[in-house]
Amino acid sequence: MALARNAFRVVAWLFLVALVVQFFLGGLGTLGGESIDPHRLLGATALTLTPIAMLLLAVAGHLGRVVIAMTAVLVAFVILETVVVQVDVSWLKALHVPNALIVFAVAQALAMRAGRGV
Amino acid sequence: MAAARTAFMGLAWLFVLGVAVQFFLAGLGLSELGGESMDPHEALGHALTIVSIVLLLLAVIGRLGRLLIGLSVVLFLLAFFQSLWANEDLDPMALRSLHVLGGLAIFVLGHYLAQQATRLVRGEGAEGARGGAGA
Repeated sequence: MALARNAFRVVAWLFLVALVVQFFLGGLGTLGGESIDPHRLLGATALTLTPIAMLLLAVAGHLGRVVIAMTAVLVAFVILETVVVQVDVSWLKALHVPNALIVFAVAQALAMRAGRGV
Repeated sequence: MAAARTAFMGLAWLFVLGVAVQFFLAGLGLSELGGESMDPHEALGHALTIVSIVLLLLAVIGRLGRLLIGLSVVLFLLAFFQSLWANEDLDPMALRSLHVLGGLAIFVLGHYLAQQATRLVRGEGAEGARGGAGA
């Protein structure tokens, strides 16, 4: 159980750092004149799978209802992030950006909680 | 002083909300996503820069302490530089990606300032209530 808790803490912080990188890659692809492919790749792989791993670790580590629920919300918003960019409605596509902000806010809250020993 | 602190708290939360709306407007304006005009995003960006100046003034008037005043200065600088990072003539172009990271930093800092101001105002309220009960 302690191993799962420690792993959750490390993964939560790594996920937060990866999100910062993802914001940078998003900027590089849309404003910086570079390809958006690295942003897409990171989003479709590590950033989608990591919250699922975090959810499993939260359950295995008995991190409590709040953390488990918050991690489940994180998984939902991360999945939403890839879904909204595929629809053909402009305002729904636009939600990709503020939704990323929600993902960051939830991830930050989780990392802070994990840092305090949950 | 208390009024300035309360005003700072309220304005800081409005600022955070404005930044969230700003992210939506950015998504709406990007050709890869919403494909609409970027004008609303630019207009709100200018408004948020002005709000950050008002926040700084309120932080000084409300004597929020060195940390919060210092962070309000940083918030203003970050907001100010946002329009520079977004400049189409910026060379190298890759620097323009800092506009997105800057937006994220502004959101995090604005949220932190709003939280700290809320604690400060609530703490004063609780102290006032305790003082009132004791009197």
